[in-house]
Amino acid sequence: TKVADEKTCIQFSIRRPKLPSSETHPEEGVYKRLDVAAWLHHLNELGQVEEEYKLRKAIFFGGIDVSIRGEVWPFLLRYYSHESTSQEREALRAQKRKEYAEIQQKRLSMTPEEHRAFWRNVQFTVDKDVVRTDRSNQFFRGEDNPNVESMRRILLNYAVYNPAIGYSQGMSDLVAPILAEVLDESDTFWCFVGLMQNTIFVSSPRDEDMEKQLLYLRELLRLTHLRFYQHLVSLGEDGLQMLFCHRWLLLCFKREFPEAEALRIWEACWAHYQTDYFHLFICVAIVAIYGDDVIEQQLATDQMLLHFGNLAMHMNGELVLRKARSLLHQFRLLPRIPCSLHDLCKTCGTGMWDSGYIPAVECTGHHPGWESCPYGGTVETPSPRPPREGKKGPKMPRDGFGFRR
Amino acid sequence: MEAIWLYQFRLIVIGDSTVGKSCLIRRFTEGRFAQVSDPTVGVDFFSRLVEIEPGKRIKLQIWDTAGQERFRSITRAYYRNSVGGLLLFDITNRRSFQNVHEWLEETKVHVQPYQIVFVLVGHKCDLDTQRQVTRHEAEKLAAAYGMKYIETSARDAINVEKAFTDLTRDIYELVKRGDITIQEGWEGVKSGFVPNVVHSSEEVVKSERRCLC
Repeated sequence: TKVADEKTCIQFSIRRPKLPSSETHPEEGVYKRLDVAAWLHHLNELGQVEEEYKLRKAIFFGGIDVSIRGEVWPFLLRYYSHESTSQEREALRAQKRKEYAEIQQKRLSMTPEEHRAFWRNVQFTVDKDVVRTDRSNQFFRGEDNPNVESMRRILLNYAVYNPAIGYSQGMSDLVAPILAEVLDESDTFWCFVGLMQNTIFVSSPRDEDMEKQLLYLRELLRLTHLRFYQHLVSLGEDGLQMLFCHRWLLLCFKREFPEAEALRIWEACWAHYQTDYFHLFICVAIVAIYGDDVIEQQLATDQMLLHFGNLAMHMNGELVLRKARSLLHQFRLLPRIPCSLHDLCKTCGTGMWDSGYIPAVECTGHHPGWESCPYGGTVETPSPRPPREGKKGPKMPRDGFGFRR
Repeated sequence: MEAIWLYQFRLIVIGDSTVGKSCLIRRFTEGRFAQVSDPTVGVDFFSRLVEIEPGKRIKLQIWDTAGQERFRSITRAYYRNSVGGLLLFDITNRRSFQNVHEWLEETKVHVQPYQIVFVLVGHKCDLDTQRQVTRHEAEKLAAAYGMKYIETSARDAINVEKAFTDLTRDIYELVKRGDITIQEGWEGVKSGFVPNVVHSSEEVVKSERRCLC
């Protein structure tokens, strides 16, 4: 007999529907959604993006109007370069379409033996997954929908193009919204290639990538939300695995927010504004806004998974985005960052510390071999603030970045 | 309010992608079958109480995982903390049957020093006309690994209750005999929650809290 559903026993209270002004980015609200007019304004007469950084910043804050997503996403996904002219892009598309056809041809001309292996390792799962991906989206609805067939070919061809990655479940979830906006099959394929190359969080099948993300996230939490971090520590190894956020990372929050909000989050991440790791700031923002109960009720690992699982589709994406932007801003104001997060800046292109503001990197002493850590000493810094005393050990602010509470 | 239960058992459901793990779990915990469900990414779990003897309830916490999961960080935590498991293959997909061995090996690596009580489940038995694995060979394989074998269908609700309940009973017997014990730092078996007071407001509280679920 069915007696009780555990879900009924968890109590939610969403206590912070608004952010106090001390927790918002100072440039919040300055940027409107990027619409056609604003987009055209970013282009010169040759169709080149005049100032890439400005464009990315505008998208980071304001997002992109639905009507031009298909046009702008290929830039964010690095299919088109910002310097390219309209003419060059047309030439690129034609060339890439040819390349795409060749990849497909390669797939269709496998030997029977190759084909058997491909079917077993890739096609079998792809075939089953595409028909159950984004079915609620009108674009993919119905039997024998040609768009589902496009999605299927893109994924199969991708596995041929990049056999080392092949296909992992979750990829269909990532490619579907791109296809629904970009529409053209070949263009979508190349956008997807860009997505897989330029974002670190996508459903990559490798252990190390996930471990790296989780390591950074733990460190960010330690830095920004010490109480939550301490709760994880109190749960031991299993708590620090943060099972609750694996799907967030693998699908870039797609199943956590309604599509409109999820895609806003994608755009903000793809803007690569000041960091390649904005998705981790989103994670921290979710924890900051919706994680108080976890600490107060001292939820165990499984209950924590349930708590955040139940929040899926009930969180406020705009609020989370605003909080995440504010967290990034606060992170940039830190006079020093722990060595564990040093790579978080190092792998970035221009933009992370672009204003001549370079924080000092300081060894936390929290990792194996810290005695020989290159950041064991305090690096001289152009920061206006005087360096703090003490060189080793955790010297982070107690709670958050000094937000007034 | 928590209902009264003797023990909580944590179970995992594993097997190749698309063999029907999530559907089996949903059928068991929610009593319904979804024709189409998103591919599972990450980890989820579902709970249900089962009554193994009159008045004796066991709470099952059933962990659903992606069949293609390759992240050791994820797998370790949930294998290690499970007392029982359903190892699924799809009777219409021979490959998923051939992979049963791999799944057992994979589990063995992560679960030590603990052990998991497995049942082998031949799923989608409603599709008998497309069968690629005979009952006989599946039974033979199960016997070779010391497991029971059962065939289920989430679509037609065949043997779904039985698969979970039989496994629960087997684990319960092992716990009763002391072969499996509750241990600090291990989530496989937890001792029950027996409140002294049963709140009369239970139903009210439940419906109030249901809204976001």
